[in-house]
Amino acid sequence: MLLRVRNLRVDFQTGRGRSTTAVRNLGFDLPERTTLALVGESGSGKSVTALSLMGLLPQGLAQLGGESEIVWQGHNLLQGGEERWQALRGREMAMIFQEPMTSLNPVFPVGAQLMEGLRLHMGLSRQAARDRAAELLELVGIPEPRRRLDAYPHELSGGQQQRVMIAMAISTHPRLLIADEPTTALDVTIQRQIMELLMKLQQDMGMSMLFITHDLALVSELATQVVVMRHGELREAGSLRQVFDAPADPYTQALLACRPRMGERPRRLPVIEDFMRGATRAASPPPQRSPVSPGGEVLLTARGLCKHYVIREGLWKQRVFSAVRDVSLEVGQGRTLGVVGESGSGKTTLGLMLAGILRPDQGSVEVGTGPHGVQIVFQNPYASLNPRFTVAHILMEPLLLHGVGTTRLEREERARELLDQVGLPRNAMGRYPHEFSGGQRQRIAIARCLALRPEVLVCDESVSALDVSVQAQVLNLLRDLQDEYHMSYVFISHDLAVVHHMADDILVMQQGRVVEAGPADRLFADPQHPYTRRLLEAVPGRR
Amino acid sequence: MTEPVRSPGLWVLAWRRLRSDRVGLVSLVIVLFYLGVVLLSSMGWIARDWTREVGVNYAPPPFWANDQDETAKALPPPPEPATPPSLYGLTDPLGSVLADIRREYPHDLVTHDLPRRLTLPLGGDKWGHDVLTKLVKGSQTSLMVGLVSALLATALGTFLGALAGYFGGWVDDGLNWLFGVFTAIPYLLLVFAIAAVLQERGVTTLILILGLTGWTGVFRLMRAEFLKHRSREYVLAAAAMGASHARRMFVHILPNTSHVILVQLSLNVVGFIKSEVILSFLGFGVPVDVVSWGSMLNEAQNELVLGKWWQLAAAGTAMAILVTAFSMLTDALRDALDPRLQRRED
Repeated sequence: MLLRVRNLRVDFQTGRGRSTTAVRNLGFDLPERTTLALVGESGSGKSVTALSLMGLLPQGLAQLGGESEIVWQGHNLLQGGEERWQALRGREMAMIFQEPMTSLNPVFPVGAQLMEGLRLHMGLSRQAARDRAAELLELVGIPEPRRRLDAYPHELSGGQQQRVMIAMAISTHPRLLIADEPTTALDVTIQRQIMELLMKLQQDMGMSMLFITHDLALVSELATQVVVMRHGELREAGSLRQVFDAPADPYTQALLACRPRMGERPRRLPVIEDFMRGATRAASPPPQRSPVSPGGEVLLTARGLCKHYVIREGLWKQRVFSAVRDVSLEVGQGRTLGVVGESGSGKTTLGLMLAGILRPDQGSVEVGTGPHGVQIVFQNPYASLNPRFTVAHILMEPLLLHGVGTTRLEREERARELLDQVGLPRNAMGRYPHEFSGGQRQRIAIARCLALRPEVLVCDESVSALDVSVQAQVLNLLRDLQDEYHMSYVFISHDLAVVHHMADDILVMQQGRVVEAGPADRLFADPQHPYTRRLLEAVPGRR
Repeated sequence: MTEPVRSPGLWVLAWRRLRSDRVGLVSLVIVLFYLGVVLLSSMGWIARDWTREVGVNYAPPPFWANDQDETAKALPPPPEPATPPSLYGLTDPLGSVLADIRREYPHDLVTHDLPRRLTLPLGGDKWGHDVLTKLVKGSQTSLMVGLVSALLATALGTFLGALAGYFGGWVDDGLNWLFGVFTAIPYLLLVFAIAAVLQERGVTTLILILGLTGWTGVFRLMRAEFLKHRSREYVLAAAAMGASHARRMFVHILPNTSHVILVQLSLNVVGFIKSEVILSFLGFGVPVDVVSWGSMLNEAQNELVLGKWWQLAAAGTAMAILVTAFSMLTDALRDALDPRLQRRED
């Protein structure tokens, strides 16, 4: 047994003698040459667990419970001193993080950063370290490794940066690689490449891997053992087959069921409460949605939209960057247009132009009832609500701006109705955004959009920042609102499973252009453009 | 219906945190005390008669008087001359008028000089003014100059910074150029230049000088804040709802930068109080008929040669205490208003 964890408990000081427990009573075994996935939503304590295994918890702030045991090859690391960790860290156990850009030092070439570890831990000479660094870069699949040694981190793409991080981590032949959400910040196609690289390295080098993620679909592809955590506690542990095919814990069942799947399009997604209330897995499959919502008149038309940005280079030179090039689209009443693409494809810029926030350089947007018939829900519910406004203030602002309601009382009543519509309690009125969870905040943002009774709602990655279980609730809410008010949606996301669940029609964007468009069912079943095919193949968990 | 819940806003939370910060609280009490004194004095309830010469020249404070020789005696008021002095055979052209006035208003021309006191609580100056009342009046001037000019500078800096950061483009370029011009000239030189051009000396002039030159620091910070906030999603959401530029700038963004403004304001108050003192000390400050800490220190340099240290000590101590308390309060406010700290506590 490589690593055994027993009774792990981590408390965090929150000031003035108070503390919160981040992890309690956690125990699992990690054998040699095995990949174990630690799965959980935000606040589940999975990252804290990883840090405590590396002995990297912030000192003074975090405290390990007295009965905790972290046993590395028969030695309890918690009883040894700091020297023991020092000897293990970076040599026997290595770690890669979510954000490659912040994990690499921006002022040194990547080669120098790779060589530092090699010379420190392996005692290699300068030349030998350089040779080895080039070998490592080749191993992680970076083209022209010799030349790339002198590249600075910003000269590499996000995927390449993560590859460099992986090269650094495996440079000392560690026996355990801890990967904390290593692909969350990356595009789907890049994610697929990194996943394959990690699996290959794990096999070739005979490492064990602790893979930390919130995404169950990823887990099904690479792990053999799974540990599911929630609120710092272990919910279920077992082999991959066992956990995926016959989950015993209602929370695991819920996690598996809440996530939209590519194969099916249920009317509603099951939500976590259904399972936690004790009902086992929904007996009958949920009713499937009719393939296409009935189309009415066209509410939103965009023709030939273009947006350029001028980038200054040096003193005189400037370069024109086209974010969106010649995009035309139509959205009918009650229908949902999905816009998919990777980062830099121009989908957010398109959304901002449709919502009237950005003025297109060329082309036009026509909306049935005028400019405020389109509203937009953003990705980050923590940034899209003014932190100094109460919920009442947030909801009444659009009413005030458009002269809806003559008195304050009337507007307050309307704001309460809006809260009802998005399923929030009426006593939320006097509270501030920071008192709500991410899902609740997204509901407030949706309520604010509904205030003006828009005909079209642009959802720009609106559920991407939310946990799987919350995501399902918000998607259901959006679906209900659409049925009730016959709104049209422009649903922008990098997550193909979510778009597939929501959309009637799809627009695939690459580098500002539409490369393929059509009805969702046809497009997902029979993609024509090679880029669309690549995107679909990269979606995890399709096996 | 359920009872509506009102949550504590940012200011309530800030006040709670400030209350638990002992240093900050003491500083707040000291600053409030100064403000109270200034208020009373500007209402004319205290220190109105600071110009009265109540003591002997350089009257020492009581605890210092023991060491002094006893030559200084209470001087009786000078006897009024019974007869007009000899005019060498000339007739006084105003003599008859004066006689009339003397007949009609017998009390107005009588000097009611009380016997001058040998010691004063904080000593006296060259003319026998009470340093304590002078100090109170001086505090009023210095604090008024500090507060009003800081308000002016902060408002100006905030407004220009908001314009530059929010609109960007040529507005930003233009205002940055102005900012560059102001910061390129050494501060005191700029202030002297403006003072020399304005000619007229007075409290208003002083406030204008300090306010119009001191906005640059606030401008730089507020520009950065607005630059950061203008593309935040909550501002975009306001734009999507049809909020005007002014509404986005001042209703949505401004409250989110209030902690920066407040801290800048109090830093400016401290800075401008010191600037006023320096300017008055160098003779560019308040006119002769107005007393401020700076003019007191200016007088004190001559007195110090004679060993009369109390005016210097009084003005210096008063200023030191206020400036220290204000700086501490600023620190405490910065901690109390930092939204990141607030999140950690939740």
